[in-house]
Amino acid sequence: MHSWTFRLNAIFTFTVTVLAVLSALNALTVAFLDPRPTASIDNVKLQRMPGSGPKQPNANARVMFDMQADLRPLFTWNTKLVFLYVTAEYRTDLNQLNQIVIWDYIVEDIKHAELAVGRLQSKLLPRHHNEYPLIDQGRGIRNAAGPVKLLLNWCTMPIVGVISRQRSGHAEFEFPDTWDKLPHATSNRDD
Amino acid sequence: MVDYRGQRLSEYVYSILTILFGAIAWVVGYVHQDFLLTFYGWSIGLGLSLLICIPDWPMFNRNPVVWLEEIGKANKSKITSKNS
Repeated sequence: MHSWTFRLNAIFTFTVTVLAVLSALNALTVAFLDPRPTASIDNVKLQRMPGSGPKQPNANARVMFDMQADLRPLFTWNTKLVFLYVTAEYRTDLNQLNQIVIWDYIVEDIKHAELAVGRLQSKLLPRHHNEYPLIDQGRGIRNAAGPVKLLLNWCTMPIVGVISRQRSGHAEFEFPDTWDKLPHATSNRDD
Repeated sequence: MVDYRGQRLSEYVYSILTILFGAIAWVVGYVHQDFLLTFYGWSIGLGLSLLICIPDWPMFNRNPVVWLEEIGKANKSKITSKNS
């Protein structure tokens, strides 16, 4: 402590340790809560994407759905952001479980935590919501064992602590037999 | 150079400042549910500690160290002749 460099080092070490203790206490106050947000998906519609056909027999579909979620319970002072995504899951002869992400969205604060997508969407989401096509590996989806399930998943990323992942919301649909004969989707997205 | 009493004073000041600002900032952040407020309060505490405790202020030099007298000239010449 006899020179300024020595004091600088000591002060920084001590202060950063204090910050670490404050962050740990922060995480501790939130660790034992059990938030249960609600979500639902329904009204699933399929469109065949251009580019799939006899020459590219893998199914390439645009899945449209209505989704409602109320994620406000997840936002505590230890939440940095919540990453939402919708997966389509099904089982084929090739794979026990196929999981394809068809939509995702990042929620950064509690003001945007109440979402509706699709028919009930009242305003444009602040950042455009991302929509990915459902591209099958092989041709198994048409003969899938059981219907294709759509589930809403969310990852809560904390400021300090463990990332947690939960899911809910449940909708099922089957690939129609007339898949090969469906007209191609146009580039406009119409609900 | 800061003297010994001054070093102890400096250490007390930055410890208490940092802990006080950190604790108050944590409570404010908890009430408003916003960790950014805690971080701001903590960084104010850090800035104040740096300002008050690092530079060589006069308050840290109030009890200067008392060094021994220099060895007398007669003894000095005896020592140098023994070494050479």
